[in-house]
Amino acid sequence: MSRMPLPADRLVQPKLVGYDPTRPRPWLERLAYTLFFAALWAMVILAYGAVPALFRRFGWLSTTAGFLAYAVVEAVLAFLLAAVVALILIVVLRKYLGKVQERVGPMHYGPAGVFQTVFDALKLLGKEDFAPKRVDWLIFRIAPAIVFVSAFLLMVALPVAGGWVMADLNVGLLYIVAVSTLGAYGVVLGGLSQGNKWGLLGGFRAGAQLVSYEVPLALALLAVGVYAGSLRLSDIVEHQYGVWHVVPLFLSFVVYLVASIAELKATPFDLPEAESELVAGYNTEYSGMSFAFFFLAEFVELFLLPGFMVVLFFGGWHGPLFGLAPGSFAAGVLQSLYFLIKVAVWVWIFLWIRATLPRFRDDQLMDLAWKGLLPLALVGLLVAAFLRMFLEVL
Amino acid sequence: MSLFAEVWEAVKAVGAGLGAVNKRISEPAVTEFYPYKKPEIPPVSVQFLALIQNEDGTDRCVACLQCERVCPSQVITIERKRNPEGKGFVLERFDLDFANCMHCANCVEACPVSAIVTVGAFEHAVYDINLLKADKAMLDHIGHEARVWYSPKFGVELRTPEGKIQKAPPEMQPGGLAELLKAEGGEAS
Ligand code: SF4
Ligand code: SF4
Repeated sequence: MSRMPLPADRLVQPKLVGYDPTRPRPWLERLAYTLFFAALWAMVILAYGAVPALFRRFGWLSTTAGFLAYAVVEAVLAFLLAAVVALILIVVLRKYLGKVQERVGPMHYGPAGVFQTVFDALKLLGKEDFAPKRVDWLIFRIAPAIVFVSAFLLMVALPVAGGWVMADLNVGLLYIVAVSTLGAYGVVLGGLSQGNKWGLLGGFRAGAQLVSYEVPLALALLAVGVYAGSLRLSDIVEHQYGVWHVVPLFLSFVVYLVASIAELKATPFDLPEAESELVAGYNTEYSGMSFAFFFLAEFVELFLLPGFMVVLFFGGWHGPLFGLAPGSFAAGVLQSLYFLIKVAVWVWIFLWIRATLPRFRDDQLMDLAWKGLLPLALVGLLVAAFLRMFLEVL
Repeated sequence: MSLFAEVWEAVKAVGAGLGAVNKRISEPAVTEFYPYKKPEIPPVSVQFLALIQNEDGTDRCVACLQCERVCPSQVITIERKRNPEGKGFVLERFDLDFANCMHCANCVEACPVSAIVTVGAFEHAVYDINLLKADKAMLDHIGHEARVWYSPKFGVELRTPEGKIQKAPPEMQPGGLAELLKAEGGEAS
Protein backbone atom coordinates (compact mmCIF):
# COMPACT_ATOMS: atom_id res chain seq x y z
CA MET A 1 0.00 0.00 0.00
CA SER A 2 1.10 3.53 -0.54
CA ARG A 3 3.02 5.53 1.99
CA MET A 4 1.42 8.71 0.69
CA PRO A 5 -1.28 10.20 2.91
CA LEU A 6 -4.44 9.62 0.99
CA PRO A 7 -6.14 12.64 -0.57
CA ALA A 8 -9.21 11.97 1.55
CA ASP A 9 -7.18 12.99 4.63
CA ARG A 10 -6.56 16.36 3.12
CA LEU A 11 -10.09 17.29 2.22
CA VAL A 12 -10.32 19.23 5.49
CA GLN A 13 -12.29 22.45 5.18
CA PRO A 14 -10.52 25.11 7.27
CA LYS A 15 -12.86 27.62 8.84
CA LEU A 16 -12.27 31.34 8.82
CA VAL A 17 -12.93 32.66 12.30
CA GLY A 18 -15.21 35.66 12.31
CA TYR A 19 -15.39 36.15 8.57
CA ASP A 20 -17.32 34.35 5.92
CA PRO A 21 -16.05 35.27 2.45
CA THR A 22 -19.31 34.17 0.90
CA ARG A 23 -21.18 36.60 3.13
CA PRO A 24 -19.35 39.92 3.51
CA ARG A 25 -20.97 41.99 6.22
CA PRO A 26 -20.26 45.67 5.57
CA TRP A 27 -22.50 46.76 8.45
CA LEU A 28 -20.32 44.83 10.88
CA GLU A 29 -17.23 46.56 9.53
CA ARG A 30 -18.92 49.94 9.83
CA LEU A 31 -19.97 49.14 13.38
CA ALA A 32 -16.42 48.13 14.26
CA TYR A 33 -14.97 51.34 12.87
CA THR A 34 -17.62 53.41 14.63
CA LEU A 35 -16.65 51.69 17.88
CA PHE A 36 -13.00 52.40 17.13
CA PHE A 37 -13.82 56.06 16.66
CA ALA A 38 -15.80 56.06 19.91
CA ALA A 39 -12.87 54.45 21.72
CA LEU A 40 -10.54 57.10 20.34
CA TRP A 41 -12.94 59.82 21.41
CA ALA A 42 -13.17 58.33 24.90
CA MET A 43 -9.37 58.17 25.14
CA VAL A 44 -9.08 61.79 24.04
CA ILE A 45 -11.69 62.90 26.58
CA LEU A 46 -9.91 60.94 29.31
CA ALA A 47 -6.42 62.17 28.50
CA TYR A 48 -7.15 65.80 27.64
CA GLY A 49 -10.31 66.55 29.59
CA ALA A 50 -11.35 64.24 32.39
CA VAL A 51 -8.07 63.60 34.21
CA PRO A 52 -6.92 67.27 34.27
CA ALA A 53 -10.43 68.31 35.35
CA LEU A 54 -10.30 65.73 38.14
CA PHE A 55 -6.93 66.92 39.40
CA ARG A 56 -8.04 70.53 39.27
CA ARG A 57 -11.34 69.80 40.97
CA PHE A 58 -9.65 68.31 44.02
CA GLY A 59 -6.84 70.84 44.01
CA TRP A 60 -4.16 68.18 43.82
CA LEU A 61 -2.11 70.19 41.36
CA SER A 62 -0.95 72.65 44.03
CA THR A 63 1.12 70.06 45.89
CA THR A 64 4.38 68.72 44.51
CA ALA A 65 3.33 65.09 44.90
CA GLY A 66 0.03 65.82 43.21
CA PHE A 67 1.73 67.51 40.31
CA LEU A 68 4.16 64.62 39.87
CA ALA A 69 1.30 62.13 39.97
CA TYR A 70 -0.52 64.25 37.38
CA ALA A 71 2.53 64.28 35.12
CA VAL A 72 2.96 60.52 35.37
CA VAL A 73 -0.72 59.79 34.74
CA GLU A 74 -0.82 62.17 31.78
CA ALA A 75 2.30 60.62 30.26
CA VAL A 76 0.82 57.13 30.57
CA LEU A 77 -2.47 58.31 29.08
CA ALA A 78 -0.71 60.03 26.21
CA PHE A 79 1.21 56.84 25.51
CA LEU A 80 -2.02 54.83 25.57
CA LEU A 81 -3.63 57.35 23.26
CA ALA A 82 -0.69 57.06 20.87
CA ALA A 83 -1.00 53.28 20.93
CA VAL A 84 -4.75 53.40 20.30
CA VAL A 85 -4.29 55.86 17.44
CA ALA A 86 -1.64 53.68 15.84
CA LEU A 87 -3.64 50.47 16.31
CA ILE A 88 -6.68 52.02 14.66
CA LEU A 89 -4.89 53.84 11.87
CA ILE A 90 -2.82 50.83 10.83
CA VAL A 91 -5.83 48.63 10.30
CA VAL A 92 -7.74 51.49 8.67
CA LEU A 93 -4.86 52.09 6.28
CA ARG A 94 -4.58 48.42 5.38
CA LYS A 95 -8.31 48.02 4.88
CA TYR A 96 -8.51 51.19 2.81
CA LEU A 97 -5.58 50.25 0.58
CA GLY A 98 -7.13 46.80 0.23
CA LYS A 99 -10.43 48.26 -0.93
CA VAL A 100 -8.70 50.58 -3.37
CA GLN A 101 -6.63 47.75 -4.81
CA GLU A 102 -9.69 45.46 -5.00
CA ARG A 103 -8.44 43.12 -2.29
CA VAL A 104 -10.09 42.51 1.06
CA GLY A 105 -7.17 43.44 3.31
CA PRO A 106 -6.79 41.82 6.73
CA MET A 107 -9.69 39.49 7.46
CA HIS A 108 -8.65 36.82 9.93
CA TYR A 109 -8.89 38.36 13.39
CA GLY A 110 -12.05 39.93 14.65
CA PRO A 111 -15.02 40.81 12.48
CA ALA A 112 -13.59 41.47 9.03
CA GLY A 113 -10.08 41.62 10.46
CA VAL A 114 -10.46 44.75 12.57
CA PHE A 115 -8.30 43.31 15.38
CA GLN A 116 -5.43 42.49 13.05
CA THR A 117 -3.13 45.17 14.48
CA VAL A 118 -3.63 43.93 18.03
CA PHE A 119 -2.26 40.57 16.96
CA ASP A 120 0.49 42.25 14.94
CA ALA A 121 1.53 44.16 18.05
CA LEU A 122 1.54 40.93 20.09
CA LYS A 123 3.66 39.29 17.40
CA LEU A 124 6.15 42.16 17.42
CA LEU A 125 6.29 42.03 21.21
CA GLY A 126 7.11 38.36 21.08
CA LYS A 127 9.88 38.71 18.50
CA GLU A 128 13.54 38.89 19.34
CA ASP A 129 14.84 42.43 19.05
CA PHE A 130 17.90 41.53 17.06
CA ALA A 131 20.87 43.82 16.52
CA PRO A 132 23.23 42.72 13.73
CA LYS A 133 26.97 42.52 14.41
CA ARG A 134 28.04 45.57 12.40
CA VAL A 135 25.67 48.11 13.91
CA ASP A 136 26.70 51.09 15.97
CA TRP A 137 24.94 49.70 19.00
CA LEU A 138 24.16 52.81 21.04
CA ILE A 139 22.83 54.88 18.13
CA PHE A 140 21.01 51.88 16.74
CA ARG A 141 19.14 51.52 20.03
CA ILE A 142 18.50 55.21 20.60
CA ALA A 143 17.15 56.01 17.11
CA PRO A 144 13.70 54.39 17.48
CA ALA A 145 13.29 56.09 20.84
CA ILE A 146 14.09 59.49 19.32
CA VAL A 147 11.62 58.96 16.51
CA PHE A 148 8.86 57.81 18.81
CA VAL A 149 9.45 60.42 21.48
CA SER A 150 9.39 63.23 18.93
CA ALA A 151 6.02 62.06 17.63
CA PHE A 152 4.78 61.53 21.18
CA LEU A 153 5.90 64.98 22.39
CA LEU A 154 3.84 66.65 19.68
CA MET A 155 0.75 65.21 21.32
CA VAL A 156 1.33 67.43 24.34
CA ALA A 157 0.77 70.62 22.35
CA LEU A 158 -2.35 69.47 20.49
CA PRO A 159 -5.40 71.49 21.59
CA VAL A 160 -8.42 69.23 21.15
CA ALA A 161 -11.05 71.52 22.67
CA GLY A 162 -11.37 74.85 24.42
CA GLY A 163 -8.90 74.67 27.29
CA TRP A 164 -8.25 70.99 26.69
CA VAL A 165 -4.54 70.78 26.05
CA MET A 166 -1.81 69.14 28.07
CA ALA A 167 0.55 72.09 27.81
CA ASP A 168 -0.73 75.37 26.35
CA LEU A 169 2.67 76.69 25.29
CA ASN A 170 2.98 80.34 24.34
CA VAL A 171 5.51 79.25 21.68
CA GLY A 172 3.39 76.35 20.40
CA LEU A 173 4.28 76.81 16.73
CA LEU A 174 8.00 76.89 17.46
CA TYR A 175 7.57 73.82 19.62
CA ILE A 176 5.94 71.94 16.72
CA VAL A 177 8.79 72.86 14.37
CA ALA A 178 11.47 71.99 16.91
CA VAL A 179 10.04 68.66 18.00
CA SER A 180 9.05 67.40 14.57
CA THR A 181 12.56 68.17 13.34
CA LEU A 182 13.87 66.01 16.14
CA GLY A 183 12.16 63.05 14.51
CA ALA A 184 14.30 63.50 11.42
CA TYR A 185 17.38 62.91 13.59
CA GLY A 186 16.03 59.57 14.69
CA VAL A 187 15.36 58.47 11.14
CA VAL A 188 18.76 59.58 9.87
CA LEU A 189 20.64 58.07 12.80
CA GLY A 190 18.69 54.84 12.53
CA GLY A 191 19.57 54.61 8.86
CA LEU A 192 23.25 55.42 9.28
CA SER A 193 23.95 53.26 12.33
CA GLN A 194 22.92 49.91 10.97
CA GLY A 195 25.88 49.06 8.73
CA ASN A 196 23.61 48.14 5.86
CA LYS A 197 23.76 49.85 2.50
CA TRP A 198 19.99 49.98 2.09
CA GLY A 199 19.65 51.51 5.51
CA LEU A 200 22.42 53.96 4.72
CA LEU A 201 20.75 55.06 1.49
CA GLY A 202 17.42 55.30 3.25
CA GLY A 203 18.99 57.41 5.96
CA PHE A 204 20.59 59.73 3.41
CA ARG A 205 17.35 60.15 1.55
CA ALA A 206 15.43 60.69 4.75
CA GLY A 207 17.92 63.31 5.84
CA ALA A 208 17.73 65.19 2.55
CA GLN A 209 13.97 64.94 2.32
CA LEU A 210 13.05 65.77 5.88
CA VAL A 211 15.45 68.69 6.11
CA SER A 212 14.20 70.17 2.82
CA TYR A 213 10.57 69.83 3.77
CA GLU A 214 11.01 71.26 7.24
CA VAL A 215 11.77 74.64 5.67
CA PRO A 216 8.49 75.18 3.75
CA LEU A 217 6.61 73.58 6.64
CA ALA A 218 8.12 76.03 9.09
CA LEU A 219 7.37 78.95 6.76
CA ALA A 220 3.75 77.83 6.41
CA LEU A 221 3.46 77.65 10.19
CA LEU A 222 5.07 81.06 10.43
CA ALA A 223 2.48 82.51 8.05
CA VAL A 224 -0.26 81.25 10.33
CA GLY A 225 1.53 82.72 13.33
CA VAL A 226 1.90 86.09 11.59
CA TYR A 227 -1.72 86.18 10.52
CA ALA A 228 -3.11 85.12 13.89
CA GLY A 229 -0.70 87.36 15.77
CA SER A 230 0.24 84.64 18.24
CA LEU A 231 2.31 81.50 18.44
CA ARG A 232 0.00 79.98 21.02
CA LEU A 233 -2.11 77.27 19.38
CA SER A 234 -5.29 77.98 21.34
CA ASP A 235 -5.04 81.68 20.38
CA ILE A 236 -4.72 80.63 16.75
CA VAL A 237 -7.89 78.56 17.03
CA GLU A 238 -9.73 81.43 18.75
CA HIS A 239 -8.60 83.73 15.96
CA GLN A 240 -10.57 81.67 13.43
CA TYR A 241 -14.04 82.49 14.80
CA GLY A 242 -15.02 84.58 11.78
CA VAL A 243 -13.45 82.63 8.98
CA TRP A 244 -11.20 79.60 8.93
CA HIS A 245 -7.59 80.31 8.08
CA VAL A 246 -7.74 78.08 5.04
CA VAL A 247 -9.51 80.85 3.11
CA PRO A 248 -7.08 83.75 3.58
CA LEU A 249 -4.00 81.52 3.88
CA PHE A 250 -4.76 79.07 1.08
CA LEU A 251 -1.19 79.12 -0.27
CA SER A 252 0.25 78.29 3.12
CA PHE A 253 -2.32 75.54 3.50
CA VAL A 254 -1.24 73.91 0.23
CA VAL A 255 2.39 74.13 1.31
CA TYR A 256 1.54 72.63 4.69
CA LEU A 257 -0.41 69.80 3.04
CA VAL A 258 2.41 68.80 0.68
CA ALA A 259 5.15 69.26 3.27
CA SER A 260 3.31 67.28 5.90
CA ILE A 261 2.83 64.36 3.51
CA ALA A 262 6.58 64.53 2.93
CA GLU A 263 7.12 64.62 6.70
CA LEU A 264 5.02 61.50 7.02
CA LYS A 265 7.17 59.71 4.45
CA ALA A 266 3.88 58.60 2.84
CA THR A 267 3.65 57.39 -0.70
CA PRO A 268 4.37 60.20 -3.11
CA PHE A 269 7.36 60.97 -0.88
CA ASP A 270 8.22 57.55 0.53
CA LEU A 271 11.78 57.54 -0.79
CA PRO A 272 13.40 56.83 2.60
CA GLU A 273 11.64 53.48 2.83
CA ALA A 274 10.97 52.71 -0.84
CA GLU A 275 10.30 48.97 -0.71
CA SER A 276 10.93 48.46 -4.39
CA GLU A 277 14.38 50.07 -4.31
CA LEU A 278 15.68 49.87 -0.74
CA VAL A 279 14.49 46.85 1.20
CA ALA A 280 12.81 48.89 3.88
CA GLY A 281 15.10 51.93 3.85
CA TYR A 282 16.09 53.32 7.19
CA ASN A 283 14.41 50.57 9.22
CA THR A 284 15.78 47.59 7.29
CA GLU A 285 17.66 46.02 10.20
CA TYR A 286 15.14 46.75 12.90
CA SER A 287 13.02 43.98 14.31
CA GLY A 288 10.71 43.39 17.21
CA MET A 289 9.78 46.37 19.34
CA SER A 290 12.39 48.70 17.81
CA PHE A 291 10.65 48.28 14.49
CA ALA A 292 7.29 48.67 16.20
CA PHE A 293 8.38 52.04 17.57
CA PHE A 294 9.24 53.32 14.09
CA PHE A 295 5.90 52.05 12.90
CA LEU A 296 4.03 53.52 15.86
CA ALA A 297 5.68 56.91 15.35
CA GLU A 298 4.71 56.94 11.69
CA PHE A 299 1.05 56.37 12.47
CA VAL A 300 0.96 58.74 15.43
CA GLU A 301 2.29 61.38 13.04
CA LEU A 302 -0.41 60.39 10.57
CA PHE A 303 -2.83 61.47 13.30
CA LEU A 304 -0.92 64.50 14.54
CA LEU A 305 -0.06 66.26 11.27
CA PRO A 306 -3.71 66.33 10.10
CA GLY A 307 -4.51 67.31 13.69
CA PHE A 308 -2.27 70.35 13.54
CA MET A 309 -3.60 71.10 10.07
CA VAL A 310 -7.11 71.23 11.53
CA VAL A 311 -5.89 73.41 14.39
CA LEU A 312 -4.07 75.84 12.13
CA PHE A 313 -6.34 76.04 9.09
CA PHE A 314 -9.73 74.47 9.78
CA GLY A 315 -10.87 76.12 12.93
CA GLY A 316 -9.72 73.45 15.36
CA TRP A 317 -12.58 72.50 17.64
CA HIS A 318 -15.07 75.06 16.31
CA GLY A 319 -18.60 73.87 15.67
CA PRO A 320 -22.14 74.54 16.83
CA LEU A 321 -22.34 74.19 20.62
CA PHE A 322 -26.16 73.99 21.00
CA GLY A 323 -26.26 76.39 23.89
CA LEU A 324 -23.59 74.74 26.01
CA ALA A 325 -21.43 77.22 27.88
CA PRO A 326 -18.00 77.37 26.20
CA GLY A 327 -15.38 76.17 28.67
CA SER A 328 -17.71 73.72 30.42
CA PHE A 329 -16.91 70.02 30.42
CA ALA A 330 -19.88 69.10 28.18
CA ALA A 331 -18.84 71.75 25.66
CA GLY A 332 -15.31 70.29 25.72
CA VAL A 333 -16.68 66.83 24.97
CA LEU A 334 -18.64 68.13 21.99
CA GLN A 335 -15.74 70.25 20.75
CA SER A 336 -13.36 67.32 20.91
CA LEU A 337 -15.86 65.37 18.78
CA TYR A 338 -15.83 68.15 16.16
CA PHE A 339 -12.07 68.18 16.26
CA LEU A 340 -11.81 64.41 15.84
CA ILE A 341 -14.27 64.38 12.95
CA LYS A 342 -12.28 67.04 11.12
CA VAL A 343 -9.08 65.10 11.79
CA ALA A 344 -10.69 61.87 10.57
CA VAL A 345 -11.71 63.53 7.31
CA TRP A 346 -8.16 64.77 6.81
CA VAL A 347 -6.64 61.42 7.69
CA TRP A 348 -8.89 59.91 5.04
CA ILE A 349 -7.69 62.47 2.50
CA PHE A 350 -4.09 61.69 3.41
CA LEU A 351 -4.73 57.98 2.90
CA TRP A 352 -6.51 58.76 -0.36
CA ILE A 353 -3.50 60.68 -1.64
CA ARG A 354 -1.27 57.87 -0.45
CA ALA A 355 -3.33 55.33 -2.38
CA THR A 356 -3.28 57.40 -5.57
CA LEU A 357 0.07 58.91 -6.36
CA PRO A 358 3.21 57.10 -7.50
CA ARG A 359 6.59 57.77 -5.92
CA PHE A 360 8.68 60.82 -6.77
CA ARG A 361 12.23 60.51 -8.03
CA ASP A 362 14.92 61.90 -5.75
CA ASP A 363 15.77 64.95 -7.88
CA GLN A 364 12.09 65.73 -8.53
CA LEU A 365 11.58 65.68 -4.79
CA MET A 366 14.32 68.23 -4.23
CA ASP A 367 13.03 70.29 -7.17
CA LEU A 368 9.58 70.41 -5.69
CA ALA A 369 10.84 71.35 -2.24
CA TRP A 370 13.30 74.08 -3.17
CA LYS A 371 11.95 75.45 -6.43
CA GLY A 372 8.24 74.95 -5.87
CA LEU A 373 7.27 74.90 -2.24
CA LEU A 374 9.83 77.30 -0.83
CA PRO A 375 8.85 80.27 -3.08
CA LEU A 376 5.21 79.37 -2.56
CA ALA A 377 5.69 79.38 1.20
CA LEU A 378 7.44 82.76 1.02
CA VAL A 379 4.59 84.18 -1.05
CA GLY A 380 2.18 82.73 1.48
CA LEU A 381 4.11 84.43 4.25
CA LEU A 382 3.93 87.75 2.38
CA VAL A 383 0.20 87.34 1.86
CA ALA A 384 -0.26 86.59 5.54
CA ALA A 385 1.76 89.63 6.53
CA PHE A 386 -0.19 91.97 4.23
CA LEU A 387 -3.52 90.58 5.33
CA ARG A 388 -2.50 91.06 8.94
CA MET A 389 -1.50 94.63 8.15
CA PHE A 390 -4.89 95.35 6.59
CA LEU A 391 -6.65 93.77 9.56
CA GLU A 392 -4.70 96.03 11.92
CA VAL A 393 -5.53 99.09 9.83
CA LEU A 394 -9.25 98.32 9.62
CA MET B 1 1.12 82.25 -17.78
CA SER B 2 2.64 78.94 -18.77
CA LEU B 3 3.57 78.24 -15.14
CA PHE B 4 -0.03 78.59 -14.08
CA ALA B 5 -1.13 76.44 -16.98
CA GLU B 6 1.35 73.78 -15.88
CA VAL B 7 0.16 73.92 -12.29
CA TRP B 8 -3.43 73.68 -13.46
CA GLU B 9 -2.56 70.63 -15.59
CA ALA B 10 -0.91 68.99 -12.58
CA VAL B 11 -3.87 69.70 -10.33
CA LYS B 12 -6.24 68.28 -12.95
CA ALA B 13 -4.11 65.15 -13.33
CA VAL B 14 -3.94 64.53 -9.59
CA GLY B 15 -7.66 65.13 -9.32
CA ALA B 16 -8.37 62.61 -12.08
CA GLY B 17 -6.20 60.08 -10.25
CA LEU B 18 -7.99 60.69 -6.97
CA GLY B 19 -11.34 60.26 -8.69
CA ALA B 20 -10.29 56.99 -10.28
CA VAL B 21 -9.07 55.65 -6.95
CA ASN B 22 -12.28 56.62 -5.20
CA LYS B 23 -14.36 54.82 -7.81
CA ARG B 24 -12.52 51.57 -7.23
CA ILE B 25 -13.48 51.41 -3.56
CA SER B 26 -16.98 50.24 -4.40
CA GLU B 27 -15.82 47.54 -6.81
CA PRO B 28 -15.85 43.99 -5.47
CA ALA B 29 -12.59 42.37 -4.41
CA VAL B 30 -11.11 39.81 -6.75
CA THR B 31 -9.47 37.89 -3.91
CA GLU B 32 -9.64 34.07 -4.08
CA PHE B 33 -10.49 32.68 -0.67
CA TYR B 34 -8.55 29.57 -1.54
CA PRO B 35 -8.39 27.25 1.41
CA TYR B 36 -11.86 28.28 2.56
CA LYS B 37 -13.54 28.16 -0.81
CA LYS B 38 -12.14 25.55 -3.18
CA PRO B 39 -11.89 26.79 -6.76
CA GLU B 40 -13.71 25.04 -9.58
CA ILE B 41 -11.13 23.12 -11.60
CA PRO B 42 -12.02 22.67 -15.27
CA PRO B 43 -12.49 19.03 -16.26
CA VAL B 44 -9.48 19.08 -18.56
CA SER B 45 -6.57 20.14 -16.39
CA VAL B 46 -3.36 18.27 -15.72
CA GLN B 47 -3.17 18.47 -11.94
CA PHE B 48 -2.54 14.86 -11.07
CA LEU B 49 -2.52 11.44 -12.68
CA ALA B 50 -4.68 8.47 -11.79
CA LEU B 51 -5.21 4.89 -12.91
CA ILE B 52 -8.80 4.14 -13.75
CA GLN B 53 -10.36 0.76 -12.97
CA ASN B 54 -13.44 -0.55 -14.70
CA GLU B 55 -16.77 -0.68 -12.92
CA ASP B 56 -16.24 -4.35 -12.07
CA GLY B 57 -12.92 -3.61 -10.38
CA THR B 58 -10.60 -4.91 -13.07
CA ASP B 59 -7.73 -2.80 -14.35
CA ARG B 60 -8.23 -0.88 -17.55
CA CYS B 61 -4.48 -0.97 -18.00
CA VAL B 62 -3.34 -3.70 -20.35
CA ALA B 63 0.33 -3.35 -19.36
CA CYS B 64 1.44 -2.32 -22.82
CA LEU B 65 4.32 -0.21 -21.44
CA GLN B 66 3.54 2.69 -23.78
CA CYS B 67 3.42 5.18 -20.95
CA GLU B 68 6.67 3.93 -19.46
CA ARG B 69 8.36 4.28 -22.85
CA VAL B 70 7.04 7.73 -23.65
CA CYS B 71 7.62 9.35 -20.29
CA PRO B 72 10.33 12.03 -20.74
CA SER B 73 11.20 12.03 -17.06
CA GLN B 74 11.24 8.23 -16.89
CA VAL B 75 9.34 8.14 -13.67
CA ILE B 76 6.97 5.31 -14.53
CA THR B 77 8.09 1.80 -13.60
CA ILE B 78 5.95 -1.14 -14.74
CA GLU B 79 6.48 -4.82 -14.12
CA ARG B 80 4.16 -7.24 -15.87
CA LYS B 81 3.65 -10.93 -16.32
CA ARG B 82 1.79 -13.06 -18.83
CA ASN B 83 -1.85 -13.45 -18.08
CA PRO B 84 -2.22 -17.06 -16.86
CA GLU B 85 -5.90 -17.21 -17.85
CA GLY B 86 -5.73 -15.84 -21.35
CA LYS B 87 -3.78 -13.67 -23.67
CA GLY B 88 -2.06 -10.41 -22.86
CA PHE B 89 -0.36 -9.28 -19.66
CA VAL B 90 -1.33 -8.35 -16.13
CA LEU B 91 0.34 -5.71 -13.98
CA GLU B 92 2.58 -6.74 -11.12
CA ARG B 93 3.79 -3.31 -10.24
CA PHE B 94 2.97 0.22 -11.44
CA ASP B 95 5.02 2.93 -9.75
CA LEU B 96 4.93 6.64 -10.58
CA ASP B 97 7.26 9.12 -8.91
CA PHE B 98 5.27 12.34 -8.69
CA ALA B 99 8.28 14.12 -7.22
CA ASN B 100 9.96 14.02 -10.63
CA CYS B 101 6.92 13.93 -12.87
CA MET B 102 6.62 17.15 -14.86
CA HIS B 103 2.91 16.76 -15.55
CA CYS B 104 3.40 16.80 -19.31
CA ALA B 105 0.60 14.24 -19.77
CA ASN B 106 2.53 12.40 -22.47
CA CYS B 107 1.63 9.16 -20.72
CA VAL B 108 -2.04 10.06 -20.94
CA GLU B 109 -1.69 10.80 -24.66
CA ALA B 110 0.10 7.53 -25.24
CA CYS B 111 -2.20 5.18 -23.37
CA PRO B 112 -4.24 3.14 -25.89
CA VAL B 113 -7.04 2.28 -23.44
CA SER B 114 -7.32 5.48 -21.40
CA ALA B 115 -6.17 3.73 -18.26
CA ILE B 116 -3.92 6.51 -17.05
CA VAL B 117 -5.79 9.83 -17.00
CA THR B 118 -5.48 13.37 -15.73
CA VAL B 119 -7.60 14.44 -12.78
CA GLY B 120 -8.31 17.83 -11.24
CA ALA B 121 -7.22 17.10 -7.66
CA PHE B 122 -4.37 19.47 -6.91
CA GLU B 123 -3.61 19.67 -3.19
CA HIS B 124 -0.57 17.44 -2.95
CA ALA B 125 1.97 19.42 -1.00
CA VAL B 126 3.66 17.10 1.51
CA TYR B 127 6.59 17.52 3.87
CA ASP B 128 8.29 14.25 2.95
CA ILE B 129 9.27 13.87 -0.68
CA ASN B 130 9.10 10.09 -0.39
CA LEU B 131 5.37 10.40 0.10
CA LEU B 132 5.13 11.50 -3.52
CA LYS B 133 6.32 8.11 -4.80
CA ALA B 134 3.00 6.55 -5.68
CA ASP B 135 2.37 2.86 -6.22
CA LYS B 136 -0.51 1.13 -7.99
CA ALA B 137 -2.78 1.14 -4.93
CA MET B 138 -2.26 4.88 -4.59
CA LEU B 139 -2.97 5.59 -8.24
CA ASP B 140 -6.05 3.36 -8.13
CA HIS B 141 -7.22 5.20 -5.04
CA ILE B 142 -6.87 8.58 -6.75
CA GLY B 143 -8.82 7.15 -9.67
CA HIS B 144 -11.60 5.99 -7.35
CA GLU B 145 -11.75 9.34 -5.62
CA ALA B 146 -11.96 11.23 -8.89
CA ARG B 147 -15.41 12.30 -10.02
CA VAL B 148 -14.29 13.54 -13.40
CA TRP B 149 -11.20 12.86 -15.50
CA TYR B 150 -9.86 13.30 -18.98
CA SER B 151 -7.97 11.32 -21.55
CA PRO B 152 -7.64 12.19 -25.25
CA LYS B 153 -9.07 8.86 -26.36
CA PHE B 154 -12.35 8.84 -24.39
CA GLY B 155 -12.61 12.55 -23.66
CA VAL B 156 -14.00 13.68 -20.30
CA GLU B 157 -15.60 10.90 -18.29
CA LEU B 158 -17.71 11.09 -15.17
CA ARG B 159 -18.21 8.77 -12.23
CA THR B 160 -21.82 8.93 -11.14
CA PRO B 161 -22.71 8.72 -7.43
CA GLU B 162 -23.70 5.06 -8.00
CA GLY B 163 -20.21 4.26 -9.26
CA LYS B 164 -21.06 4.02 -12.93
CA ILE B 165 -18.62 5.46 -15.46
CA GLN B 166 -20.19 7.65 -18.13
CA LYS B 167 -19.06 9.87 -20.92
CA ALA B 168 -19.55 13.51 -19.94
CA PRO B 169 -22.08 15.67 -21.80
CA PRO B 170 -20.67 17.58 -24.78
CA GLU B 171 -20.52 20.94 -23.02
CA MET B 172 -17.95 19.48 -20.62
CA GLN B 173 -15.81 18.06 -23.42
CA PRO B 174 -12.82 20.05 -24.67
CA GLY B 175 -14.04 22.03 -27.62
CA GLY B 176 -17.45 20.46 -27.15
CA LEU B 177 -19.20 23.70 -26.50
CA ALA B 178 -17.69 25.25 -29.61
CA GLU B 179 -18.79 22.28 -31.68
CA LEU B 180 -22.28 22.46 -30.24
CA LEU B 181 -22.48 26.13 -31.10
CA LYS B 182 -21.15 25.46 -34.58
CA ALA B 183 -23.72 22.72 -35.09
CA GLU B 184 -26.49 25.04 -33.97
CA GLY B 185 -25.19 27.78 -36.22
CA GLY B 186 -25.03 25.27 -39.09
CA GLU B 187 -28.66 24.29 -38.57
CA ALA B 188 -29.73 27.88 -38.40
CA SER B 189 -28.03 28.90 -41.62
S1 SF4 C 1 2.95 13.30 -16.97
FE1 SF4 C 1 4.78 13.23 -18.23
S2 SF4 C 1 6.43 13.12 -16.73
FE2 SF4 C 1 4.56 12.60 -15.64
S3 SF4 C 1 4.47 10.40 -15.69
FE3 SF4 C 1 3.29 11.15 -17.44
S4 SF4 C 1 4.75 11.20 -19.14
FE4 SF4 C 1 5.94 11.02 -17.26
S1 SF4 D 1 -0.05 3.07 -21.59
FE1 SF4 D 1 -1.96 2.74 -20.46
S2 SF4 D 1 -2.41 0.58 -20.82
FE2 SF4 D 1 -0.27 0.84 -21.37
S3 SF4 D 1 0.86 0.35 -19.53
FE3 SF4 D 1 0.53 2.57 -19.47
S4 SF4 D 1 -1.38 2.83 -18.35
FE4 SF4 D 1 -1.28 0.69 -18.89
